[in-house]
Amino acid sequence: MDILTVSHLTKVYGEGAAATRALDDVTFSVEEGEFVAIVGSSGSGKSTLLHLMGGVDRPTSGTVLLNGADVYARSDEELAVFRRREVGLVYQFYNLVPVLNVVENMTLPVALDGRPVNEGRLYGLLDKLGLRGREGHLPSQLSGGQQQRVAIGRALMNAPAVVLADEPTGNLDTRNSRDIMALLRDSNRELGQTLVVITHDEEIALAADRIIAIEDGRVVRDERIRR
Amino acid sequence: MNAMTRFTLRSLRANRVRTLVTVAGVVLAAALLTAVLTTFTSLQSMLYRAEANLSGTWMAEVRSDDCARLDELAAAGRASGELGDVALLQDAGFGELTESQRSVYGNYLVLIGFAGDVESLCAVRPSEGRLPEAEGEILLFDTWRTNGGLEVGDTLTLPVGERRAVLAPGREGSVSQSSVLSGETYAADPSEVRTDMIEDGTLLDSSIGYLRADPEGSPLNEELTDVEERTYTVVGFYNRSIYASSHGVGMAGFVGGDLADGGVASAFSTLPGAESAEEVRERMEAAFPDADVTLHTGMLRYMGLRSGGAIWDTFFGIVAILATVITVACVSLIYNAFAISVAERMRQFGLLASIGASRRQLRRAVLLEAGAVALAGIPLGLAVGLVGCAVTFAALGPSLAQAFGAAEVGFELAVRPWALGFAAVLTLVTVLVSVAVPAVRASRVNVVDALRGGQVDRASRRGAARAARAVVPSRLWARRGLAGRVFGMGGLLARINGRRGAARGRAASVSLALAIVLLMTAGSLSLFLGMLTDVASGSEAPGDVAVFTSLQPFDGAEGADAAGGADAAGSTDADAAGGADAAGADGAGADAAGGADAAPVTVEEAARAADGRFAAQAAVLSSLWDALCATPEAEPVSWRLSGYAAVVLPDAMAGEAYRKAGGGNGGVMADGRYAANALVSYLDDASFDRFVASLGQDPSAYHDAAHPRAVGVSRGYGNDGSTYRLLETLRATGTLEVALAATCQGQPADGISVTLDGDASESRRAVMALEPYFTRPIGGDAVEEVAVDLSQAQMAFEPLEVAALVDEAPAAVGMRGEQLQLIVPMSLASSCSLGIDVPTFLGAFDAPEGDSGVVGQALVDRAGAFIHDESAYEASYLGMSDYAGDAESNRMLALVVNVFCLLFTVILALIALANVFNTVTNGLILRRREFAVMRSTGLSNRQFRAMIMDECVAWCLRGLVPGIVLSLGVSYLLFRAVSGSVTGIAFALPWGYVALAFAMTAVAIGISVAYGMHRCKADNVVEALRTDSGA
Repeated sequence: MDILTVSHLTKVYGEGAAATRALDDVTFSVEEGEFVAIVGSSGSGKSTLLHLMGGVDRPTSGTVLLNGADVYARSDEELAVFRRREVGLVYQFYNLVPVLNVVENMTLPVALDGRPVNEGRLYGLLDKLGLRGREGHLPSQLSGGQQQRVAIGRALMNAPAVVLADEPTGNLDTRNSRDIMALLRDSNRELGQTLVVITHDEEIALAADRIIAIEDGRVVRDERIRR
Repeated sequence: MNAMTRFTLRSLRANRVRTLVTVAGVVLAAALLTAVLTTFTSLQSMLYRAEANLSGTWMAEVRSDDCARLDELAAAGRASGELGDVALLQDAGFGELTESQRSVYGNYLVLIGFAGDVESLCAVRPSEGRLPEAEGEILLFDTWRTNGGLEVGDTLTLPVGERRAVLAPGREGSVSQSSVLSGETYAADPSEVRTDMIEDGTLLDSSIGYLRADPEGSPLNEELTDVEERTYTVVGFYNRSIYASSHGVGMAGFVGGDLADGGVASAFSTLPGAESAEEVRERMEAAFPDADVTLHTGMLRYMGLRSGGAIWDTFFGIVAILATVITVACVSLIYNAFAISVAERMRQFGLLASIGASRRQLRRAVLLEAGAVALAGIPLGLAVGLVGCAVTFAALGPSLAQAFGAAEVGFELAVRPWALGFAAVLTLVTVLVSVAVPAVRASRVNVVDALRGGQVDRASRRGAARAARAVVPSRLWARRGLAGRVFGMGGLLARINGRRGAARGRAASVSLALAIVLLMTAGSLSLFLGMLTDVASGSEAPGDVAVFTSLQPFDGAEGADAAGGADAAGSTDADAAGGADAAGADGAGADAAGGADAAPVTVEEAARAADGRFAAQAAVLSSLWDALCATPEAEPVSWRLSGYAAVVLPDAMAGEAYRKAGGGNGGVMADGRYAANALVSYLDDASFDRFVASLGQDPSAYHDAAHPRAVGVSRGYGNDGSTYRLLETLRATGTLEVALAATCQGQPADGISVTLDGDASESRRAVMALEPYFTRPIGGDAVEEVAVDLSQAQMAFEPLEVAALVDEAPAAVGMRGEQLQLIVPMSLASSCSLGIDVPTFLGAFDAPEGDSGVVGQALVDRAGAFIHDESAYEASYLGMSDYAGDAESNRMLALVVNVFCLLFTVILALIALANVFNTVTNGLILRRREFAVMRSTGLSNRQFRAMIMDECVAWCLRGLVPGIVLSLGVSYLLFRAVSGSVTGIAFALPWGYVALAFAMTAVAIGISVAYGMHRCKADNVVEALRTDSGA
């Protein structure tokens, strides 16, 4: 079953002669429980694609359907609620709130939604992410790998329809990169979490079920990996 | 242009709004400093010109008895360049005046010869006609024209001689007379006092006061010798009395012709290029060896060559305070701007450092930024300051000049290069001080931290500790406190940020507190200065202008004029004139002894004599009033006679003022009644009747001389032991007794005082008594009181019924004093003295607007002439109060004070608000990446707004509370400073300004937050999240 459908998605930055076509008529869909890697060189438009899928940006034209509903038919307020519940975003530079501790950063989307924290899920994630004992630490007291694990925890906390990760290992050393990718893959396998990861690292991409390659804002390759 | 410069300028352009605000801050700083300094230099220039106009531009004077040598030395000094312009004034004899002339012009007509530019150097300036040129021409003081009837072209013939000291018969000895060697009589230091020894036969120059032997003091009189008749042609008049009146012996007449070789002369000189008062003195002493040098202190002070003097200290103080406040305000504004600018670009500095920029280069980049801002701001600020001053002075100049008593020379913009230079340098220093810390911070950038993903460690150490505790899942995000309830999740995030974040909100709070302190300081200043001008403007006046005088028997009653005076007195009451003559004997020193030898009188006779003396004076003063009423343009309002009397109050009448205080104005006596000093006013019948009618009473009941009645004023100022305030003096109507006269061993006493009763000293509280006394001269005009033996004294009393009480005396009676006040009609004056020996006359008139001063002078002239020509008295005191003129200059002063305060407030407010804007806006902009993270996590716009609102409330509270507490302190200090010089001001808060401070800071925060949020939202979340745009 398709959980995420992108059709004819186009994003143009700037106007007139300075206009840049970051995405050009991109169409694909992601099935529930799928682990998709989007690869492409720098400036190929893959980050733009991720942001459009996450409801952070608005497309110039085209639609994004998540669970069958049009993401961009929503108002700004509804889009904020959509981001809390349906999407988990992981960035290259972690992007944690500096004054919130580990558990607060992880539970921020839940809190913003005004729902109670699911304690079992929180502790399960803390165990899995290896952050037990660091619940009260602020981001500045953590290493890069640990911060990224908090970011992943935040993305998974709400059990979103899809987790979108933008170069999640781009800022980490090899060992931490492997750990993070293992975490993401485990969440996909054990929790059935749908996962879209953007990377330029072919090795990381090989961990996915499917690789979509983008060049100059267009999908140039879309292949499933057989294991 | 190297890479760093380009980088700096580009970053300035990139943050246009902040750069503009910062430049505006520098402009304001430079403009304010320029304005303050230019006001100061303009004031200095005005005072300089006023002083030059008043007493000339001379800087130093030497006096010598060898005029020819003085002239020689002056010529030599001028030739060598040591001296500038020199003018000589020389004593050219003393003209003898007739008795009647002496009362107007002084003891002599002091003839002064002159050479050089006396017009500009000595301010000897004809108001009419010209300066004398040839021998036999004279320039006289204006009174010779107005009073003496002389005109230009008339001739004046009079005996002229030299003043010589002579011993009084049977006396011997000498006197020393000190004269102050200074251009002004106040603020002279002791080294500038010259002492002349005068003995029998000494020739006296014009600087030596008139000699008059007195029994216990000087043994010397003076006489004119070598007298010869001289005739002068009047060629002009001068009307500035400043120079002329500095001669102790009479008004000067300036005569033409060459100076005599000998004779006492003074040289007045300027000394170009002198840089200090000491240099002026040294150069003058070098040019004129062995001569006493007198400095023109006022002039040197206004030229900036001499410091000191209370007024000047106050000016310097105000300038220093204003400059300090401005500098502090601007440092905080500019510091904040640069601190934010640097914090925002830490990553850029890290990047620059990583590619090899040295600390020095980084520091320079920030300093260069400051330099660029200063370069743009300072010239603009100087221009704005000058234009502002020019506009303000154009509007307020006349008022200001009048307030400083320099209307004649006017208040003009005086631009001094040093003032502009000083303002520019001070502003530059302000900018450099402000930028020093941010520059150092930029140079110490930690390359690794700056480049590592732009994650800023924003939490404080306490914040980390708090964060460590907040891990219990069930209590996570519990909506604690008001913020959580009102602002929901946004409020909660704001609260967490407030509790854990380091420093950021503090800058906004500090700038808010500063804004409030600045606004309230300006407000308090304006409030207290306003009170000062209110207090100075005083109470309700009886009219636009009033003449005061009191009489004393004329010494030279046997002279030509005495007959007329005797007639005037005789026409009303011949006996009274006799009484006046009898009293007149007390002028001479031998009086006490003479009095003791006189025939004994009973106390009743003494009382009758006192009534007679009073009635005689009242009759003369009544005629004076009638004469004054004929003065053109003076519209009569009311007149009164007043004086002090000792009264005895029954217990039922005495107010709290006498019950609590044991003061000099009255208190309980041994017999349980109360003794008090009373101010008794005889109000002219028409005004009195109007006044009584306004109380709803029948005026005719007050005019019965057989049964005198008075209206009492029930309150007066007094000290109740702690504060000076209005106290009740009379608590009920009733009949009190006025002490009319006293005798001791058959001799009439000179007065009756209310004093502490020496016989009742064992009593627990002070007991007062009425005590007659005699006076005894102790040299000069001074007398001392000699108390009499009370057991031998007899006193006469007259009952006076206080038939009505009022809270406040009518304006015609005048200001409230410390005494019990009683008001009676003038019709009683011919029969009842009510214990007053010498009444003070006050005649109040209205005058056409703007002419009150002229009318007042005309009234005084007329009063002087009347008393001299038409009565057997002379004026012991004659003066006027220009109420309308005073009120006008008070209004002017108040206007000037208010406008200056307003300008000061507005500019300080702009600085304060720009500061608030900068800190709040940039505090938000710096966190836009953090906001973007929250929004990408699902923070809705509503929640975002709630969060920011909550943070604003927190900033406001944290800024308002200390700000208000601090400004209360500042207000109180200002109050103390102002109340130190004036009593009767209550501490108050400038509530208008408090409200203004609240409103303005609220508006400033509103605008800042709106702009900041706009900037944060305008940023695409995606853009903000990209690492390189976040830092």
